[in-house]
Amino acid sequence: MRRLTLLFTLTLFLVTGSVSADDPLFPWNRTPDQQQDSGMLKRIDDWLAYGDPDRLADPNSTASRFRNNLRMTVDIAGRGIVPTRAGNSGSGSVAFIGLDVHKVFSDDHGDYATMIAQPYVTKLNSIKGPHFFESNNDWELVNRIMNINFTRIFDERMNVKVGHFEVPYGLEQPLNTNGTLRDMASPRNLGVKADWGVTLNGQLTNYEYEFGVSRGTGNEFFDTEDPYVVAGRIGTKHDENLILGVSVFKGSVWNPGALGGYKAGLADASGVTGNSIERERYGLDIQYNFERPVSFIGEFNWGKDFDRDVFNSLMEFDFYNPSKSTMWFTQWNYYSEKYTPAMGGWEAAIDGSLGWRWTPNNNWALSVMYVQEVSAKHPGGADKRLGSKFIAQLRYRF
Amino acid sequence: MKRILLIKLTALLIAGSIAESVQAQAYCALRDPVRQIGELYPGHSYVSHVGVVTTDSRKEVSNRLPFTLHFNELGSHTLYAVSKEGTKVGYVHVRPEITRWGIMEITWSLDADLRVQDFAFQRCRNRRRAILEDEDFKKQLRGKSFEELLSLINQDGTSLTGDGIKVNSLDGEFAASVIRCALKTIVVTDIVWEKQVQAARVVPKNTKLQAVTKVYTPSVQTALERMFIGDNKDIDRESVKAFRVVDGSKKKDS
Repeated sequence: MRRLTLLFTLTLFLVTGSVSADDPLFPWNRTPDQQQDSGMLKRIDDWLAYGDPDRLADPNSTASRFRNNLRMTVDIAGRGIVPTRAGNSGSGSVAFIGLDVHKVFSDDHGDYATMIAQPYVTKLNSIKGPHFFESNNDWELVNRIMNINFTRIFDERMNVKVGHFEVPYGLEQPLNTNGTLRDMASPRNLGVKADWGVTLNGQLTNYEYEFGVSRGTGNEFFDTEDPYVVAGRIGTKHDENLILGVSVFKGSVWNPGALGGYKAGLADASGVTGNSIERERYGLDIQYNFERPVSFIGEFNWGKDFDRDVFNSLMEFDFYNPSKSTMWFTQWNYYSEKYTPAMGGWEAAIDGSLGWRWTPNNNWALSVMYVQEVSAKHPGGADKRLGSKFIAQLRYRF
Repeated sequence: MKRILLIKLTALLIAGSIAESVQAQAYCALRDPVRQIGELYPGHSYVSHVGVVTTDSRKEVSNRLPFTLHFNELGSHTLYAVSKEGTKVGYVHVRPEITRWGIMEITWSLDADLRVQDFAFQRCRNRRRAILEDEDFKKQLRGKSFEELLSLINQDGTSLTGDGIKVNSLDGEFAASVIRCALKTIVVTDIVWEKQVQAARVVPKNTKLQAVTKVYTPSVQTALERMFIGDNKDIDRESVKAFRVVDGSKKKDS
């Protein structure tokens, strides 16, 4: 309630200020002459891209140093979801607004660090979100990626990254799916997609690698129950058409949802307490770019949740037009775990999806995806009905 | 009233599509070509210069070339200025090119006068990429200026002309797309990063370099013999190249 009051007060302040000001902020409060070439978005965009020319005139000013080699973009997206299960359908939506900032720090000797900051206000509307949301209608400031990569401690062969980064494991590490409908296996396979910590990363002559130690709590940093993650991936270089990678993951991940999934496979879960799940994974990933704009990607993961064997995999075909403004993809996920014989032994959840993304220019992206479950896990013969969902997302960056 | 507000917001968002600095992909997906810079310029340092390729830049490119930039070539891009012991020796820039094999991305290395030094594919689906990565092809592009490259392709840049470049006939379209990408890289670098490039030029802008086909003319040979180095075997004279600097701003004598 306090958040809503704050939001309302800020909005009121902005609107009344705009109406009474000599140079109103919103274009619809201006005369036609004032409106010409002075749209609010145009002005914001000019400021994001170029800054204040008067302040930038002095190369030694703070503004000038901050602006040098800076990319700063406002990213707005709305996502609508229609899930269906056992003949019942519902609807929900998610709204995102955030800043996407990329800054290269340089001095007379060259570049020495790269900063990425992506704070996004994310609002759920009648939908279940990740564990850091308190309810189905909560909003949170989500730190997607927020780190500094120090690139001159050694050379391109070893950099040190500090902050909130994508856990270096599997296809997510080279592909980055933040903010897109299309996702890789990391959220379900690991239970954590991005985490706070430090990595060593670099590019060798024929290989690329990243190994990290992180908190194991995802979006927020806290030490309750001492969670941690140690993860790493080494892969062949990303500019070839066949890219192979191997990954390793060991940790105690603070994720009540993932732990709940584990407990569902136990005949007696009373001995499992807390919110962290012990996980171990070994992964193999592959990307293959065919001669025409078609790609295949796959990820295969073996490991354990506590002492339970797990095998998870993902396979996907991507089809592009030559300019890559349109992309079709079909993705198949296979998540399995070995329950005790009394609970049914190996059980698998399988789902398939068909998606389409259209990027008519650098500002807009429209994505739609249909996901159909084709098999569910039935630990102990539990009744589980198959479901599907249709998701659409409109994204605007400026 | 709500409907009017909605219409205005929609119009604003559409008008906002002219925003030029943005890129469609999130910035966490950006990858600096650090390995390729290290391979193209071993032992050198580099500094990034982020510049915005705008619709005006696109128009200017179309004034200088018979083809121009695709929309996804607009936005913020980086020019890497490479230095050795404080002296700028060249640039590295990555530019995409749309081909029938999908988007091809090439990391270009240019010298201080924006002549091609080398290149490496950052993304290329064509199975014959190894042929164009071979030294036999690369040496035909090295040292070429904008004008020399332009003379190697036809009017719309889709095929090679004459005997300027020797490649298998199967690779003509592929080679033309590489040259097209080189031309756009040179022009975009010259337009967007004019300030950074201008200061480091060895040959002034608007001058043209013409290769001198015969370096050791009889008069040069006579002069060398007078200095008793006419037959000096320590000099590999086959590798010596000479260029004539032609001031493009001066009119030719009638």
